[in-house]
Amino acid sequence: MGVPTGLTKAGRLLMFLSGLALVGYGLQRYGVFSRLRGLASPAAPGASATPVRRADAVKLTLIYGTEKEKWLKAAVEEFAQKRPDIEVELKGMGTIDSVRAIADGRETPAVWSPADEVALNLLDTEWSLQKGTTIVEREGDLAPEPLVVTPLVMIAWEERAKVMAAAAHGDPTDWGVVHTLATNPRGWMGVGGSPDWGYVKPGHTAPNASNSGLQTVILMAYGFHHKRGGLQPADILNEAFQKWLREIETAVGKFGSSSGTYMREMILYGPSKYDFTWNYESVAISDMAAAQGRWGNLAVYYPKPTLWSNHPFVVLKGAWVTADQRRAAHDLRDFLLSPPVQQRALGFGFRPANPDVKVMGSDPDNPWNRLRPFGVRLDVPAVAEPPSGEVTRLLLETWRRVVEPQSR
Amino acid sequence: MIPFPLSFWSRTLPAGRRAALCAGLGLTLACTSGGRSPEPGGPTAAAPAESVLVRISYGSEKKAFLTDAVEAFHRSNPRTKSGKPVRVELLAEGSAESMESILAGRTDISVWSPASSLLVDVLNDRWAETHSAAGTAAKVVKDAPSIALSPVVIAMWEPMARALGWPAKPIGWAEVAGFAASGAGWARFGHPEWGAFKFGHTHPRYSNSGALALIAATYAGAQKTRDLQVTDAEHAAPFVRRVQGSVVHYGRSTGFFADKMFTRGPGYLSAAVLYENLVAESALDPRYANKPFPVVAIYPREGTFWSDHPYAILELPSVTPEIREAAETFRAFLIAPERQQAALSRFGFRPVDTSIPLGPPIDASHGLDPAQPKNVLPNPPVAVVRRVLEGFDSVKRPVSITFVIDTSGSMEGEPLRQAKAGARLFLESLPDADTARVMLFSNEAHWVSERAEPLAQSRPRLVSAIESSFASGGTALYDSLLESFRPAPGEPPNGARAVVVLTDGEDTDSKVKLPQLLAMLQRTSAEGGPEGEVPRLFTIAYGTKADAAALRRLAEAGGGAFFSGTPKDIRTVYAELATFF
Repeated sequence: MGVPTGLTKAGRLLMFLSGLALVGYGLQRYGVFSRLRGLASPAAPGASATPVRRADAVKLTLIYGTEKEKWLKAAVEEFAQKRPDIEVELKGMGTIDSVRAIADGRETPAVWSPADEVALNLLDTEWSLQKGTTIVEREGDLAPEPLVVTPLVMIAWEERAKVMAAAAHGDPTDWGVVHTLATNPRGWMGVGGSPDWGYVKPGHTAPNASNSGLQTVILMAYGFHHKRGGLQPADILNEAFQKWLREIETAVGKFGSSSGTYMREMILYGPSKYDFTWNYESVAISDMAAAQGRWGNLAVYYPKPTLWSNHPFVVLKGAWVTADQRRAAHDLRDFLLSPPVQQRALGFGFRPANPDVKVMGSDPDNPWNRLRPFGVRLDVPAVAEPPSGEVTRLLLETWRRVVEPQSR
Repeated sequence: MIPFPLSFWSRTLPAGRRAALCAGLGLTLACTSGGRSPEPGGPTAAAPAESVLVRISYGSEKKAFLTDAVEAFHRSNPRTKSGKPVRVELLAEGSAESMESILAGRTDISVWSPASSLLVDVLNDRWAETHSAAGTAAKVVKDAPSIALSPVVIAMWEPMARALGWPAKPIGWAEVAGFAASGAGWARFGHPEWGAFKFGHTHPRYSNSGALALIAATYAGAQKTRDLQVTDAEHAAPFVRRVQGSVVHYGRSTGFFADKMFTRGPGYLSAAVLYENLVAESALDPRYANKPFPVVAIYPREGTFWSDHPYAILELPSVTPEIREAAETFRAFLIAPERQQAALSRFGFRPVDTSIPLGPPIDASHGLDPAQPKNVLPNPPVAVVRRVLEGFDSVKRPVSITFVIDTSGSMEGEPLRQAKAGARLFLESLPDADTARVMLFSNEAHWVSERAEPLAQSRPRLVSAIESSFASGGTALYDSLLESFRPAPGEPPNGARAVVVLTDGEDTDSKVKLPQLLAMLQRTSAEGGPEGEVPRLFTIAYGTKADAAALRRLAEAGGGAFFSGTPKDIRTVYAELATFF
């Protein structure tokens, strides 16, 4: 833009000075001076490019489920550039572990973003048993809000999935079929597979450590009782269900503690250790390129019903959370839900929670286009009702009792 | 003192004799590890002052990868957060014996990286037995992420694998067992000229690959691929015995088998249980460029194990936060993409980084199949592992050993005294069911006992005869060896035969000459014939005047191994030798 010709020399000088002042404010506002100061001084060993915070920055601890780590870290780094007045400390933790840590008072974050809202019920149940109140802020502007969403899927090596599909007469995710396969005394050979595949080896993470494992056993309970909602304590206490659950779980070679690590293990060891596993669609999308061609292709199937993980952004009502932190949390949440940040979640295999950002476009690199031949699809068939905190707690206890003693 | 590794697996050696063996050997770490010293890549002497030292005990099958990585790491000038230089020192040790030394209270290492996590479970289990009550950490290893992967395979010369139907036909432990059952060797597959099927794996009580081979064969014998129970070991024993029936000898190191197989050729070993990365090494390493045929990997159709190379920072008070930080820095370096790419392309490991696609040498042109293994066997419960390993003596191939000892005049004094002590401990370390006979020689050979008798009966007499021998006369080494090769009355029909000779000088009195003896050994080795006709020859050059060059050639021609020792370390040599049987 050119300089207006009608201005006097003094006017132009005033404008220049005003411009300088504005630039100066901007540099100060976004911490550029302090960053420059940081650059001028010798870097401490191990120092990174993390921007230098303002001394009076509001500190915000955010405990999050590790599944969304890559997306969240990148987003928070960007947020730090824009808002040096807020210092976000990220702490990754398995969702179920974080429930325990907060309930026990070992962790006191202002903000918590577990993998799924089922953890909210669990934490409130645990908290109220100890303190008689709830801890999750559920009212007003700071009520839990999903950041990104992803359904639980079954991920299978294609050659084995084909044999499963034949045995299942179409739907390899049917829990009755999974049970039949997992308990077949002749292993894969007994259901039309190759003799050198050995036993059928399903896999999921440990439900008492990781949310994807918890969701898997919830779906098993629904599968056994042929329900999509209304799971009751009596359903979990049902002896036939517990026997059936133990029989499937006996076939699991190893229960992982983290969904991301479990997916990487599936790729590294291939069907020699994991024929099919239950994990997040986001994890499958994110790692599928690394898998394809290594042991044959991976294929994604959607259980009927499945469960969503909605990665809620939760502000806690703990006495340790200050008003400043609540305001800072509000701003961070809005940033994370802003369209450009939500758009980037697609690249990590997540579906944006902001309805203004479309999951699927015409871009051929969009995962839901690119991975369609491997079963990844936009529409998710049916969703189960997340069980109450009480039922979830009972299911975890049951799993601990009937499965964990022999768990690997 | 660190217990002799045999004691860990509760071998059938009576407790009193076991204790005597340990005490007699005065075994220290240097003894059990063959007197190893830290390897290139970070000796303490070269470390800068005030550096933080990370000492790593590791399985020798990843020696090349780790040595290379340590050199690159040191070049990167690594430092702790407080600015101190970080140095890494490597110690190649058998997985089982290093575990035993940790249990015995060793504090000189901060990281343990055995070949497989199978032993991590055993270590924690045994650690808990002795440490939980004391209120200390119940686990000495909390987290042991992998730094590289490689499946356990049966490495075989390609023409031999093809004769068995490879690559179209899945092959496994049943085929290995079939050789011993038929007794016809390669003639069954149209190749009588190849002679016997000669099989090898390491000693299960010393080495991870040997332990995994034994457990895998037990699974196959029990016709199971999961849920292996303690009782299965007994049911599987006849099958496991058949698998063991073709074993020419055992040993401490998987790398030893690989090296000897690739350098000595199919006359020495038809096949051996190795890790896939060692098969890759046979194609990548210029030392093996002259091998007669390519070597291929057979992934046992009944299932196999992964060697997952855990990197365990030990939960010991001696591992300070600073050392832990340094150890974690080195681990991060090892799993970084550049290093993992090197692990694949230069050393034949499968990387633990999923972003690195599998490529050469994990491909058909290197005798490997990236789509294998199709099925792995779960690590059995610790109680089952311990039961299978404890029962090894009852399924191993019986050995008939002819022990030839030089008592010429030059042995007089301390050399003979130490040689006698070592020989006694060697005989005591062998299983009761093995047979042995002893020949003493100087100008001529004298049988202490020409008949091979089980050591359970013959041991006291043989030990007594050795202890009452004295030095005099010349050295008729070659004549005595020729005599020792004669089959012994009383040898078990399906046993392996071995001659162990110790001598401190050059041959002075034989009628037969070295070239004749070598030619005879090479001819019988090349012709093959039913196993049992040709004993494996193990030679020990004792002291500085022994003809080491001749003894080395004899061991090579005789399909055994060469050792050198002095009165100071001869007992260590015997301890090492015992791992072959």
